[in-house]
Amino acid sequence: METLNEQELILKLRQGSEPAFAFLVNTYKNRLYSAVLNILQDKDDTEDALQETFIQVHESIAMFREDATLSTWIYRIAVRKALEKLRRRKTRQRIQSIIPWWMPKEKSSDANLHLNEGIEVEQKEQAEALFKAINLLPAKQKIAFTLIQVHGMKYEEACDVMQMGVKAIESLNSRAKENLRKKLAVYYKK
Amino acid sequence: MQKNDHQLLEDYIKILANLNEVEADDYFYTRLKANMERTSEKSGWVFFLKPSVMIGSLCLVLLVNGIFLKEKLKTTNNNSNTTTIQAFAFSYDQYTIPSY
Repeated sequence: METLNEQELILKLRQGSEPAFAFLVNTYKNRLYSAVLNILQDKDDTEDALQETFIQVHESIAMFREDATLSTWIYRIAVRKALEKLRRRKTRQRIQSIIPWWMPKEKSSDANLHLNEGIEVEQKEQAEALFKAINLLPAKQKIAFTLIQVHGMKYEEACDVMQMGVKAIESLNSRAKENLRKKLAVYYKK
Repeated sequence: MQKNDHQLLEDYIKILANLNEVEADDYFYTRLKANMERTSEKSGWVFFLKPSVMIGSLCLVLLVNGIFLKEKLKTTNNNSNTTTIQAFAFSYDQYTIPSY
């Protein structure tokens, strides 16, 4: 399908055009996959969250009020799905700790670290340590930090995606950094 | 020390810039379409034929039945007590030998 501008794409999606939907998925899947994977640090959960995101986009495009760009709206849905996954994971871990026989223990997300081969071994170790520490952050701090620091999103975009003010995002980001500093302190000493 | 920690964290964060963007695999769209078809099949259920609605209704019917049965048993017990006393009295009268 030839390149469509945002208005045309929205119009075609509203008309239920399948090529337009395929175009949308192909345009956004990698960017979203990267962002959500950085938040969830688990490939299966990321795939699920992304599928749920695109299904919701497909179902609710008629209700899209265009008060933000299409990209921001899709990111918003993806972040919400990621947040749901994080909360579900936390609830599951709580239940697991109370009644371990009820639920099988979840696989550790360490096994799913998605670090690329493109970085040096020493840096890979540091990046692993950082991702482990990020994984321990409270959900909103984790999302704000990941979107801004890891995914390279601007503060304004992150504000639109998380539907929060600049100050709130700045505060989340700086608290995340503070917590990361504490969590990584042990690693620094090595 | 605090300043060192700050610098070290910034160094760590800089490493993240070297990470290449991870991509979703090529069959993502195929799996998505299959998932969407499954979802639409599920939502195609007539409302009252949905498994959740049917199980819910069954539970409700069983609950209402249970309540009625309990009430009925209670009433029957009360009645049977009364009936037994009456029957006893009646049978007593029946068997009393009239004195002439």
